[in-house]
Amino acid sequence: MKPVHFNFAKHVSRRTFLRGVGVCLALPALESMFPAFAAFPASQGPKRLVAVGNSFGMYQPSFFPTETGADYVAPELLAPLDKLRKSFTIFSNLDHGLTGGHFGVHSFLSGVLKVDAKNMPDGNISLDQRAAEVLGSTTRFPTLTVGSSSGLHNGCQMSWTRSGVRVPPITGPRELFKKLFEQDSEKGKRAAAERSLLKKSILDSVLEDAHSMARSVTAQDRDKLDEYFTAVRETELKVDQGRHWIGVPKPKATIEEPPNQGIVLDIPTLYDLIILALQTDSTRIATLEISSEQFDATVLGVSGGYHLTSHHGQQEDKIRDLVKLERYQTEHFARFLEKLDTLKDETTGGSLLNDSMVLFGSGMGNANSHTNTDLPIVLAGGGFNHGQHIALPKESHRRVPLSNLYLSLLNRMGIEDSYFAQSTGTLPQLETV
Amino acid sequence: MVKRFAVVLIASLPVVAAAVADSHFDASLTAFVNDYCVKCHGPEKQKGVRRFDTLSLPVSDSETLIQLQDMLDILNLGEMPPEDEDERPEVDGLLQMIGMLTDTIETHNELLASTGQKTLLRRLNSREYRNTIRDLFNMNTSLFDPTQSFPPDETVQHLDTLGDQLVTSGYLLDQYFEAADEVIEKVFSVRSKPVAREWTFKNNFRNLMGLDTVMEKLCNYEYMMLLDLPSSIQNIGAYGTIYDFLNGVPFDGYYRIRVQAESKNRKHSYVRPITSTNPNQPHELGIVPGNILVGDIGMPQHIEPVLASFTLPDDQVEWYEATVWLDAGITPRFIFPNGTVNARSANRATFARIAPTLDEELENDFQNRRYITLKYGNLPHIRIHEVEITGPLYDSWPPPPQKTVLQGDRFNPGKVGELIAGFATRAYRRPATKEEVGELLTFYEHRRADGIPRFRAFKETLKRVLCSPGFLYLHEPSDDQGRLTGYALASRLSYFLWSSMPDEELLALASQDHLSDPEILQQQVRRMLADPKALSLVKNFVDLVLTLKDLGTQPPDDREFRLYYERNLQKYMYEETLYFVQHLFEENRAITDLIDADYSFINEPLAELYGYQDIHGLDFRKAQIQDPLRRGILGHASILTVTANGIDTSPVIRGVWILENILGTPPSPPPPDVEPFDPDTRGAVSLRDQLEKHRKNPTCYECHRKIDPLGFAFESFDPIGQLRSAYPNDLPVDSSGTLPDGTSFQTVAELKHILLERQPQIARSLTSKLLAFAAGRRMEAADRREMERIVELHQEKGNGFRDLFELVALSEILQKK
Repeated sequence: MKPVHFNFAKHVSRRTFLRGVGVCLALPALESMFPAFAAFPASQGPKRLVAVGNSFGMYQPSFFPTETGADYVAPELLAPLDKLRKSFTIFSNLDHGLTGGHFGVHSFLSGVLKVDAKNMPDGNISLDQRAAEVLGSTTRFPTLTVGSSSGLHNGCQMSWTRSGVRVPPITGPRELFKKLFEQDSEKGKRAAAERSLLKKSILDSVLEDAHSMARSVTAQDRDKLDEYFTAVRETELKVDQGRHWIGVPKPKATIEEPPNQGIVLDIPTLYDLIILALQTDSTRIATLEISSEQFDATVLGVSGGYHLTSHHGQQEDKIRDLVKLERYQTEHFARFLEKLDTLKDETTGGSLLNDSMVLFGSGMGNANSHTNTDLPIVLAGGGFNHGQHIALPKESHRRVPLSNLYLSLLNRMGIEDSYFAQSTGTLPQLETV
Repeated sequence: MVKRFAVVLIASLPVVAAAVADSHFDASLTAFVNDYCVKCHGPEKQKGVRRFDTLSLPVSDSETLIQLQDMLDILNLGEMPPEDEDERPEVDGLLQMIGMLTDTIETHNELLASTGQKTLLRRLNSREYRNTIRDLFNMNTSLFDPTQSFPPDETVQHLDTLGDQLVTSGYLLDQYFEAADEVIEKVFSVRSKPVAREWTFKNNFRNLMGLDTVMEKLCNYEYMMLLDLPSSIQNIGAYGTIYDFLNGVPFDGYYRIRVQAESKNRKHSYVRPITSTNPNQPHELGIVPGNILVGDIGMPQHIEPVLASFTLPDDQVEWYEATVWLDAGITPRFIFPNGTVNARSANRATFARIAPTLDEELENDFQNRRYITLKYGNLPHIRIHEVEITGPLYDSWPPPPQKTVLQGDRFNPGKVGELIAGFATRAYRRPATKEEVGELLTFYEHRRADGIPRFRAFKETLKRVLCSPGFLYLHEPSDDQGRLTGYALASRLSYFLWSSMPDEELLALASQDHLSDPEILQQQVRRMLADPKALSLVKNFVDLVLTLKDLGTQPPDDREFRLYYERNLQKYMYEETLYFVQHLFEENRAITDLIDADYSFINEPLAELYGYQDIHGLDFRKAQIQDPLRRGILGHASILTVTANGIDTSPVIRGVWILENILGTPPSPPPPDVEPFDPDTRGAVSLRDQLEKHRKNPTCYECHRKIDPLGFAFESFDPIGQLRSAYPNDLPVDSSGTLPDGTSFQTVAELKHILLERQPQIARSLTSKLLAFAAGRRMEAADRREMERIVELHQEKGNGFRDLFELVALSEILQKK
């Protein structure tokens, strides 16, 4: 079912009327109309964002606890995470209100189907890419997309730019290792350096035009032109940062170059490499996609393939197999969180987990019936007040879009957007510590 | 009661108080605070860290305004003064205070937003940028959008041209650089004339939607099979792609495409969901562009105009031909616009009908089920047997963009200074100053000194021009009386009427200062209105004034409103309104046609939605509208859909839409934090009764008595604009209402009569919007006199739709900064 909300997906619309959040008359009203792209927000919140998703969801009865609140009993799929109970929240009844089955899975992080992207103000930009637009320039890689690049109907397809281009993941641990640690070719470095030099010269030169224009305009217009000056300075900074990375050698690898062994065996290695990427501050935004491409279920003692197993038809043995494949994923996710929890963030002195918002979920709700509703969603870290199972309203007319959670995450990173995809506000249930 | 409340629906403009001081308000507020607040929020106690005895009145700073807002919010919620307090105001007194606070805050907010009747230095928005590139380079941009990664432009009441709102950020500037790079590299992408060649594709038509094995077994890839219409999410292959040509054509240019196609099984006896095609309609074949680099080649893409379309006779293999423009990298794709929706998901139903006995045996054998379905199902589809592509073909060489920039056939390094100055002058839409040209040449020389070859340094200088504020901003110098200079006026006019840069004729007149001559100005405005580029006005009107840019942002539920998807109605709904407004514009019809025209532009899918007979095919034609409920744009499915949320209708949203966009009297936004209206459509309580209850709250009532009746009139239309007499829960629809002035109506047709009587108000509302759009600033109280003059003149001239644009273009407001 679609959530009933009246958001016309514009920043400050009169139709905020029934949204339940009051931008409205609140003064200074102008603030909500400020650019969605204010650069380099000074953020006190977590600096990092990791999103993990798969193609076929999680078997719902083994994933969602029966009880809500802090005293829930962890079902089978959440059991591996139980040690970190205080560090994550599980949500139920969250989704994007979309349909499409396998053809809707790609909306997991964007909240928008490809077919609808052209109608949306920001296309189907995904959460990670939106965060990277604003924060990405501080690290060598604005984002790292990792995992299955294909699979049933092209796999998870989690990351999308605002112009509707999929950001393909780096599939093998070996390629990811090389990207993180292998020094760039001289030719590649030269081309990048030339481009940033050209940018720099252009910026220097247009500044002169702006100065001469500033002399011939009214004081009011001069204020407006200030935006241009600020933009030039911001871009110069970005160019400098970019150029800086060309010259900076990549960090030294602390592990051997890993082999590629197919997604099942690669999952732990990919998680470890993501941790290294975060630790070395090579990136602050990463995604991991897990789909059926080269997903060798026999490694986990299951025959029949991931997709077919997900069509369990309520047969008990098949459900058992499916849960086995999914439990493997939550186990490694738990290990990932535990490692983040023990590692320290250099700048804050707190744990890396506390400084990273880690999202786990899928664009598929129930793979057996091909629904994209009631998605399995776990949020860990990021300095939120965790430890609960938060059940959002189930009734069709009161449902809360998953995009509300995403907007909360963006805001928490210091990106003061007023909407994300079809959000109707933030998620007030999510409190910070 | 409150001033603002009294003005709705009578001839009025949004009230903007010129004076800040309001001694009546100050005295009343002070008395109220002393009576009910200071005991807890005064010198002795400051509960909740709030103190109100020190309020500095009259309001002069935002600090005080924030305090007032704080008070208003808590009064609206009814939380203060506390229940157990002895001293509580009477309901009337409380309401009066709330009204005064709301008014005062709104007035001050408007003052804050005021630009003092001045247009702030404004940048081009994305639309204007793209069009300007087209005209600056004489470039075919039908498949090229350099602005695709630009962030969306900020809008105020849907208008995207307001100078103070259009911001520039570092991110955007970076995108400007990327766009400049892309544009200039595209201009010079082909340096020597390529020889046309011919490609022939007879087989290896692989299916890209994971059905390769099925198609191999079915026909060994000998033909493409189109079953679905393009907007299908779960398709089998809505886009016929040439597997051996996925990287597209090598160069920008015209290409002749020949396609051998065959329509199959048009007349079927299936019911939904097996197929949703209309058996009475001949199959249509379309050609659209596809780009493998920008997204899924089997799905809709951002740039997807229909390049050519053909109506196919049944069961005949025939050739069809079209010559179309293709950019390098674009591959033609074939579509079936009246195909079925989601053929993939209908597989189960289809199979059960075709091979019921095999259903169990093949339960998990998807491939074989699919194969049997496609082979024996006799499903309506189109087959493409062969494709030939020939090109690139050129009208002239070098292509116009190069000729425009090089001022000749090839790059002449000796003339580089002249070329750069000439280009900057065109790009800046006024003569580039000596200083500017000097700076550009310095840039060129610096690049040369860095060892960059001449031609590359030249190209870089052009990119540099496209990043300059001279190109990106509309610089509008004016004289002592605030009158724009000739060049500034030329740009004002062209960005209003064409959404693009002025042409040579206009710039030439500007250079001789002829645009200050009213006669010449009028001639020019008429010339521009008659130019095909003025069609951008029609589209802008539909997108921004009628807000159809939002159509599709809240797609209807695909189970409740199957027809919407089965007939691809979103596209046709939009087109109906577009053709209608184009007709008003070209024929200069009276603006009242917007409300009650007894004609519209309809094709068969829309006719199905509206329940009309005898309109066949996908082509639009002008049709008589008999049903008075359906007349005018308020009966267009597009408007009725954009004002619903895809699930159900809300009288509130539709009411607000009319107040904002037709009558020009937007209601105040609701107070924050009041319990939002939460419609419950399951039970036995009608929406009307629920809203009635909501209105019981006196703070809600004031606005909702103006909003709701207007909206209720449209309850006879469901969320996709179909007529209905009952809701899905069987409660009957009641579309009657009483406006705040006591006028009542039974149906939307009667409401339209009432609206017609308020035609001057509608004219004023449109005038105000168009002026704001054209001048790039909000209209303010002091603009009222000029607006009234336009409205009167417009009425004298007979209320013509195009005349209104002409009067706006010629107005004082447009000629001033």
